[in-house]
Amino acid sequence: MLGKRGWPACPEEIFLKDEKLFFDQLIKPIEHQMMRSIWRIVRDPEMAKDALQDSLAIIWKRLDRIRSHPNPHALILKICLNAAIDSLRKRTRLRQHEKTEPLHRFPIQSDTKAYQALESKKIEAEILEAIDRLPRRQAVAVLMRIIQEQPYAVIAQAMECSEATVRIHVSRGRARLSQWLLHLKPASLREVSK
Amino acid sequence: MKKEDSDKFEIDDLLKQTLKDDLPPELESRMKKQLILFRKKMDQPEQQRREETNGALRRFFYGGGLKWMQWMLKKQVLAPASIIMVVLGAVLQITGPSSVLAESISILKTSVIVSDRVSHAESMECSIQVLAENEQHLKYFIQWLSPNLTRVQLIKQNQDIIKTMWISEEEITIADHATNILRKVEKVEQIDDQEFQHALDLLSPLDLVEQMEGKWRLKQYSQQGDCESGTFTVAIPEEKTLLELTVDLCTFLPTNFKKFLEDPKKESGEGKILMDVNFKWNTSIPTQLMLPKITKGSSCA
Repeated sequence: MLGKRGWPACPEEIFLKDEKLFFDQLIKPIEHQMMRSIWRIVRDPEMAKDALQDSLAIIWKRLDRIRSHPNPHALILKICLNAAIDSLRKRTRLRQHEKTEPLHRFPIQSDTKAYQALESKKIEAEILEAIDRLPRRQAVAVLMRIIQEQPYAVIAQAMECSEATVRIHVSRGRARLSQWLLHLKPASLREVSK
Repeated sequence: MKKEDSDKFEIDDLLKQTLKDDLPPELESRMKKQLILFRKKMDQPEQQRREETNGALRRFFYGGGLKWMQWMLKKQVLAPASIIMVVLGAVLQITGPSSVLAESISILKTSVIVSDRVSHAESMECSIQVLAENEQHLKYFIQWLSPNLTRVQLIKQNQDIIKTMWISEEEITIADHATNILRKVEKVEQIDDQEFQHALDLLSPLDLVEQMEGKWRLKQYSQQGDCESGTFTVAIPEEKTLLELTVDLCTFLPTNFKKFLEDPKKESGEGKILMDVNFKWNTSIPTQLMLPKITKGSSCA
């Protein structure tokens, strides 16, 4: 049974005392969303596996809280997002520790697929770095809104705050990302934005 | 449309386009396995799970351990026991050498960090010298740039580059400089040049990690200084060879490895090195080098 935007409906009357039911009713319907949400943020196979494992460990610890939550699916997806953001931060810390030399940036002159792949990888890295710089709650709100395409009401339930607060988080997060990633916009749009 | 609204949609589009929903099928099946395991764990009855987690504790209490512990906590026992502990601690401090357990944990930790650092490297350069058939020496120079661009140069004894191979996600290009012929294949498995076979295990840091985690069996570990270098001696049962991997303990990245026959003293070539590899990590590699440059009038450059 699916709700708006393909969001699985989770009627409050579902009483999930049995662990088998817990998995079938709460995790199974959104397992694809869980895996994809993690992947879209970490973009690294090993990190994605680790982040999923961390999410499952947290879900395991918080079974009772998830059962009694008004929107368990949203909470589970928020747990996955949090684990993915943690993985991003760990990677950033590790890179800072390694103090690796930045690789030379070369202007893209060729239209070969390899150049394009390399350039899109660079853009991806810059976006992930910007997400990593956002305060945790702003990052979660922005990603739930933009990547998971969830309604503000659902995000508010998952984050256990008011809808107005979520809107503020999303708006501030977007503004910061726009500012930090301004150079990634095409030149014509950049001038308009100024 | 207001400026704020246009900004909002631009950043949304940028995020959606870059952080695409393109979960690789192979990873998806691996993640599904994780979920299946999690489900299995959930399916275990509550009681069984508790037994698993508390089993040792329960055995301790029901097995008379509780009485023994009560006896231990008596003051008459605690005072001499604590004195003995202090003395033992002091002796251990003076005698110096760490326990075998602590040592093996430290080796394990080092190997895990090495594996992690290698798999997160931004670039890798390595020169390989191989003792091929007929006592011939082949030299390779491999450059790898994240995410997946590789260039392999095959160098003959007279220092001339005779073949170059470029590997990218899309295709593999092989240039034979002697004949000036350029050819393309789609997969690494399709590379049939015998001369390149020795280099195929080291085309990227992940290939090295795969070997470390899959093929290599640790035999010995020795360390020079606290932050100098450590040497893992490993056996490769499939090839009946031994390998010495030297790691820089400041960066935890490999600097060199040498491959020998498993028991060099019994073989004809005592100490004969079958393969000698020197690494450089995270250096700046010009991207142009990593892609074949085709010029008019010649088949390869």
